[in-house]
Amino acid sequence: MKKISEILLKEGIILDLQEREKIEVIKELSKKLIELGYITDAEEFFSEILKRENLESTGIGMGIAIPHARSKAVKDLVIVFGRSKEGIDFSSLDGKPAHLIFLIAGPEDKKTEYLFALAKLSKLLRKDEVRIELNKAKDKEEVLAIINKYEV
Amino acid sequence: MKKILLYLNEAKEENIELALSLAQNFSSRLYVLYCLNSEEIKNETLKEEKEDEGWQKLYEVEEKAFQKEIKVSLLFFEGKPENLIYELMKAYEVDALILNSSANLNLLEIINKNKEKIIILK
Repeated sequence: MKKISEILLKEGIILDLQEREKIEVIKELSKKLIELGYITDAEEFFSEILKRENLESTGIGMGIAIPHARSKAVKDLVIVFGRSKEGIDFSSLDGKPAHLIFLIAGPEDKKTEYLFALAKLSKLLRKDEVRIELNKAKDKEEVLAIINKYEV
Repeated sequence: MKKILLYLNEAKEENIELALSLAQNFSSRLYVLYCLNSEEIKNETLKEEKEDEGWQKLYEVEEKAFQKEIKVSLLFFEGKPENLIYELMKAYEVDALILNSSANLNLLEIINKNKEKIIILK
């Protein structure tokens, strides 16, 4: 199984998200995946990710949200990351806005790897020091270095 | 039955399937709880292992719920399971709790603390 630092795209890191609303933020992050060539059908991917958002909150609390989708429209298992100073309302159970948003996209046939990545990322982001450092990171390289440092 | 809580630690496949089936039939929201039992975690290695196991199990249930179009919320907490179950059932106004009858829990304490709720032991 690949490590989070191996599937988090450096070019897919946005340190200052422009959008302020959940759906628009997901679109902003998805756009990165499309630009980088990981999505073959933007409409299908977006429909899958929104379907999940309508059924559950991907805001897991502590200022984190992990929107995710597995779809035929995705070429490979990848993660893009966006940070918001103001925070985005992801309807998290703890009521707090999400500042760190990781979008995971996986192909249909990589269910095991996809679930593994979700679990590993959720576990990693429960650590206070990871969240603190990610909120302070000055550039994309630092984001990757933090993930790499704390990943077991 | 608008809200159901599934205690995922030690849950068997039949517990999970029952929770999904009830949530689907009653159009309920399903809360899935994995608890890091602070009294059982003796060292960091065990904690890491349990955290891995917990999140993996949570997302496996989430994926199943998604396929059945069930509204689901994942809960991962550290503490004493009996207390957490009580606090979460109260906080989220959960109607029914599903847990494995052989789970390593003080069942009497859970029943006494949640007298007005439906408790399904399987």
